[in-house]
Amino acid sequence: MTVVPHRVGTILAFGAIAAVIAIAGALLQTERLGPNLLLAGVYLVGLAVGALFFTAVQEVTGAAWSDSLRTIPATLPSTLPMATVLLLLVFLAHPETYSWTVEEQSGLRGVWLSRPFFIARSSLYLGLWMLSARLLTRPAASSRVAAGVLAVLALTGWLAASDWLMSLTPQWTSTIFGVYVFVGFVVSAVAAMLLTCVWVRVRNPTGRSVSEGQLRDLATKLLGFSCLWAYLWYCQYMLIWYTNQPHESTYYAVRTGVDWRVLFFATVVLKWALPFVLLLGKAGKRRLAVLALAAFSVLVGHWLDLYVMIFPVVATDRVSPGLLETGMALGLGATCAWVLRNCDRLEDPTMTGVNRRNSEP
Amino acid sequence: MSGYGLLATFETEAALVEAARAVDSAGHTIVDAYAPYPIEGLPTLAQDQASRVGWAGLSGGVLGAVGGLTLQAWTSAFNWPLNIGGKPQLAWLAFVPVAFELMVLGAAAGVGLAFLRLSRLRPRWRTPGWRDTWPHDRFVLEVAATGEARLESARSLLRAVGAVVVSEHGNVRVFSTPTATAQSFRWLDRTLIGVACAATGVSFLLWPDWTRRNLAYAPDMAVSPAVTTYSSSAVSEDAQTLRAPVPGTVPRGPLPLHYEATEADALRAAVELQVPAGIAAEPDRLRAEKLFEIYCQPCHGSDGHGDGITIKRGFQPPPSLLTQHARDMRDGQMFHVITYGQKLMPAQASQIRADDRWRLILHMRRLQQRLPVDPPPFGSPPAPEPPPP
Ligand code: HEC
Repeated sequence: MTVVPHRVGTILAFGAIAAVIAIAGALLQTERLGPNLLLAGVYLVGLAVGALFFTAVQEVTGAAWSDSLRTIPATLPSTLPMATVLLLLVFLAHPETYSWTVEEQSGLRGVWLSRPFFIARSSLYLGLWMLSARLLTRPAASSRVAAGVLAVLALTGWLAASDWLMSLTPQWTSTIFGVYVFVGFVVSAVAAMLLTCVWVRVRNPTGRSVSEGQLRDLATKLLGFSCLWAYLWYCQYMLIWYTNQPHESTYYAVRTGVDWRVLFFATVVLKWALPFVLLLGKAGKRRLAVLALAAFSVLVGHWLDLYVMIFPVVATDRVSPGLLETGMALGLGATCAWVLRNCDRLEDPTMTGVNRRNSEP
Repeated sequence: MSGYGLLATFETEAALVEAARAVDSAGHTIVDAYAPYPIEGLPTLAQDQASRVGWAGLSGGVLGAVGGLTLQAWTSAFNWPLNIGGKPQLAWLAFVPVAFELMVLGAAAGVGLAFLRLSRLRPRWRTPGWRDTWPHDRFVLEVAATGEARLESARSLLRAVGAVVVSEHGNVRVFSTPTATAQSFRWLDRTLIGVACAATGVSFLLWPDWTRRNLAYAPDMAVSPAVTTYSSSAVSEDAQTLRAPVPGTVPRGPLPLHYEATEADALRAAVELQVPAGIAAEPDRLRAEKLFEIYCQPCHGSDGHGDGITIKRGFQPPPSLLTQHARDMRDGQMFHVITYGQKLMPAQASQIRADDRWRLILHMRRLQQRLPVDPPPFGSPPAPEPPPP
């Protein structure tokens, strides 16, 4: 028995509570709506793009270890339509989130950061990702297609990060920023996969769908990607700190100032230090509770990472997350749960085109 | 010795895993298992050993990281503090890359050494013969057993769980003849050693000068087109690379002094020179103290009594800096003494900047204020009567 009728109800109830909190928060603080929608949109995009990246890498390398759990990364990109709605709301209803819509930029920057071009580019990214998702889940997907998808993801992920997040501070540029954000996406997607796998295993401890070895391998992936993320975090921070150019270091001056310091460094703890300690040893990778904790910590850390990227620029009135942010975060959780609700039926080979390579169990 | 271990072959992976479990639970020690490909369930059996590899890696990594951080902290903040780009001397953030690399090195070395140690592999020319002769397409279990009884029970256990062939180490070794592969490797060994010897010999014959760099691969970094400081120059008239400044050049900073090292000029300096206002306002006591300790204390002693370390080793003692004579000496004259020297006291101008010399004078004044007056040195002319007020 794999279908639990209560599941849909639980998720809907959870989502409704989140919606009530979020609406209350939105009524109280309308001016924070724009940045909140942006955060939620980018978070969902991150899960989708990270999952696409994961699937494409598996496909290109011909990896077989992950075959039985490919349903999860194949399902995650279905957050994209939702993300598109959220982002369009930001760009159309709350363009003031981006200061360059108010004060025009000069020269090439002004051309790049003009509203029509910006919206056209954003639609292109989202469109390409949805197309990639379709291509990758086709039963006839080949490693050539996957390689193409990887190239597209690298370029669009980097550009989207620069457009949607870096242009919040139009004067500030960092060439590593796109990579940093992209790797953050991948980390969050792997964490979401791990969390889902733990859930599947808890529901069905004896099933062949998620083996102990797969959990361990996925945890190793999480550890590795989280370290890569920390490495890029350090690269960006260290270079800007070292050269100490005013036009670069203002970004960090704000975030390491008294107000933001705690949240800023909490990101590194949640997204790297804690999972690192938890997952480094072999023993940790064998305990479901530890795996769940590490994955959850990364997901929260990723949310905080985006929060600290967005909010110091656009919503300076209050540092800590409030009612609206809480509601939106719970809503994100409900959305992911909804998207992944059927993933414990991994045995069902009709769900995706996976297992096509190894037709025997 | 009646064999110190058994080798058993199995036809299938499952049989090997099964046998490993049985042997393990019967209390025998599994030395190793050999299979044509990695087997999932097997590693967990040898868990103790594997986890020890992990711990060795962790300790190596921690050792490397801590060592890297300590090394950098010590060299750049304690042993030889240098100001680099206006960063704090203990710039932890900048220490990370080196510490990280050393951590990786330490971890890798730890894992590697622990692995070699635990699997009883030490570097050697050739692996024991039985590893060559043993079939590579079978599943093999190696079990340690010493003593006839243990050996026998292990053997029967292995047979019982379906081993196809069971043999003792010793036996296998005796019968083993090097296979063709081993032979060709032996041949390769010899060839390589021969080539290395020949290359060394030839290079010794062709470039026998050990004191010079002979052959260099891509020497662009080592040999730069810029002439070094003390090498001869093909361009300048006197063939020197290091050029003296154009005559009459005035250095930036303190203005030149127009005095000679004579007593008359010392008196002239006494009248003409005084502590610059900027230095009087900001004397930088710590720096002055440090300078005094480095340049003056060896002769004058830490408090200026004239009892420094060189005096204890036989140098003529200088007069105390706390005598009435020294106290009455004008700042300008002191500056002259320090700059040009006075009898046995060497000139300090070449090693102490002018502003620092003034700082030293202020330091001596502070000493004089703090400490009681010293009597004039033995044999000096009696101090003149202080003029009636
Ligand atoms: C090599 C030992 C030596 C060193 C180093 C040295 N001095 Fe002297 N100094 C002497 C001697 C010897 C005399 C006495 C000279 C004389 O006989 O007139 C003297 C005399 C003096 C006097 C004159 C005292 C008086 O009452 O006439 C002053 C002032 C003085 N030194 C300051 C310094 C300062 C400041 C330094 C450090 C920068 C320094 N000296 C370093 C050996 C030294």
